[in-house]
Amino acid sequence: MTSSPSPGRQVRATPRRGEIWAAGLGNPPVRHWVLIVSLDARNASDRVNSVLIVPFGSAGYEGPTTLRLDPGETGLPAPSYLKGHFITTLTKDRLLRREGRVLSPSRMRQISQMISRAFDPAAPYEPLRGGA
Amino acid sequence: MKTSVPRQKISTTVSPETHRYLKSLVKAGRAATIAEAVDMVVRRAKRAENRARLERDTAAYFANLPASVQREEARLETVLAQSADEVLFDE
Repeated sequence: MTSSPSPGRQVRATPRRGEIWAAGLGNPPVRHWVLIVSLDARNASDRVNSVLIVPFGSAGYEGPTTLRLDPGETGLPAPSYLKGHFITTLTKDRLLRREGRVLSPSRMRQISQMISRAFDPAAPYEPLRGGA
Repeated sequence: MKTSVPRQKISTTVSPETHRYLKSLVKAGRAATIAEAVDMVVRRAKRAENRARLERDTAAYFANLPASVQREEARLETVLAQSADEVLFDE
């Protein structure tokens, strides 16, 4: 999920797990919404320059590693799809601005499990009903 | 540490082959009783089912992506790869 970039904005981010941030991804940077999934000990450490993120997409449908989230939960302007199979490392200076809401601990547990299904064939999995 | 779970009593019959197999698990020390051997075999079957379901649904997800989603995922792959390129893993 993207929005127009905000050039020149570079702040030292202090993200926390479960927060949604606008991040500048790619070269040149394009603004995307991402979810912080790394542990806060890492996020807050000034000895680690990166965090683990999962990006949101604006298009998709639910699958083993994709979860649809509504604006009421995320604070984002439209329904969005969290894509666990794209979990990646991102330098903190690419985080531009904290957005939306913080996802609940129970939702984060569900998301952790979803991410694990991208690399662990033995991860617990119950197919979701419905989808887009 | 082993935790005790409430157990359900059932009475049933199984094929001689199944019985031999369950007894072999007990004899090999992999289960303490025939009942535990049954539990173990069922656990294994459930894990295998879970694994097969995950593989199948993952394949179906990527195989059935509509063109618009496929385009977005390809774009995400590109920008994420570019962004990850600058991470120093010796930090």
